[in-house]
Amino acid sequence: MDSYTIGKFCGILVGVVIGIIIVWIALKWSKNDGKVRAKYDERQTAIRGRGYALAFYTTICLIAIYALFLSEVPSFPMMPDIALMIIVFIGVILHVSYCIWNGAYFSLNENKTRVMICFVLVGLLNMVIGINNIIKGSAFTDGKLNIQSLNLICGLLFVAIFLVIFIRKVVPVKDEDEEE
Amino acid sequence: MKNLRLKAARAALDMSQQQLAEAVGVSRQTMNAIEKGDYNPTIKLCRKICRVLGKSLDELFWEEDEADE
Repeated sequence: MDSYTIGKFCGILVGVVIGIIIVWIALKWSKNDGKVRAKYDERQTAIRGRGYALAFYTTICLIAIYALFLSEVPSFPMMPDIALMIIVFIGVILHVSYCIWNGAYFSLNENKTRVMICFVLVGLLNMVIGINNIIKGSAFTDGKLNIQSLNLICGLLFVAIFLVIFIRKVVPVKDEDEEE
Repeated sequence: MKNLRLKAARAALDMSQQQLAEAVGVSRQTMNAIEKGDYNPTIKLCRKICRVLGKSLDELFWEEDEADE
């Protein structure tokens, strides 16, 4: 193994460790009781289960459609790696949207304001990096989106989450929001 | 079917849905769904609600129509 490979491996390892530490701190900070684990009540757990199933089957269907019909299309505007990541993100946004809409996204011990602060930071960071990659032109290979555009897609995911939270707050759902 | 007895028992203690939800350890949306009849709670949660409101299971959750069937 040459020194470049060792250096690259060590860099990735340090990045992963720092990432885990940051996520751990963010999870702990976003809880009212200082615990990392989120607590959901029985209805929220059931709703989340349905959300996971919905996201799971949608992801499977989209992957099958992509593999059978789109992966070999020369004019398809993205590389296979980013296409699969976009499908994963579609699954995530479906699950998150379903849970938000049914009041099962935020756990009982979660501080919503702190969670939103984390989301804004992560979303903004990804947006800035993503837009920078677009401007530099590194997000495209032969006119197709490549994996460098992942940050932008991730930023858009957070925009979509904010949008769902906003719509859920603004649009009244029958019999749901009344506090009697 | 709406659980009006639960709503009345909560109102009698001058509790909001949020306060009752916190007392039994669920979200306000869950308490709302139980009152609206959109969610059937487990027996464990029913007992918690009864304990907080000082009522029996029969008083809050027993449906006479169902018993007749």
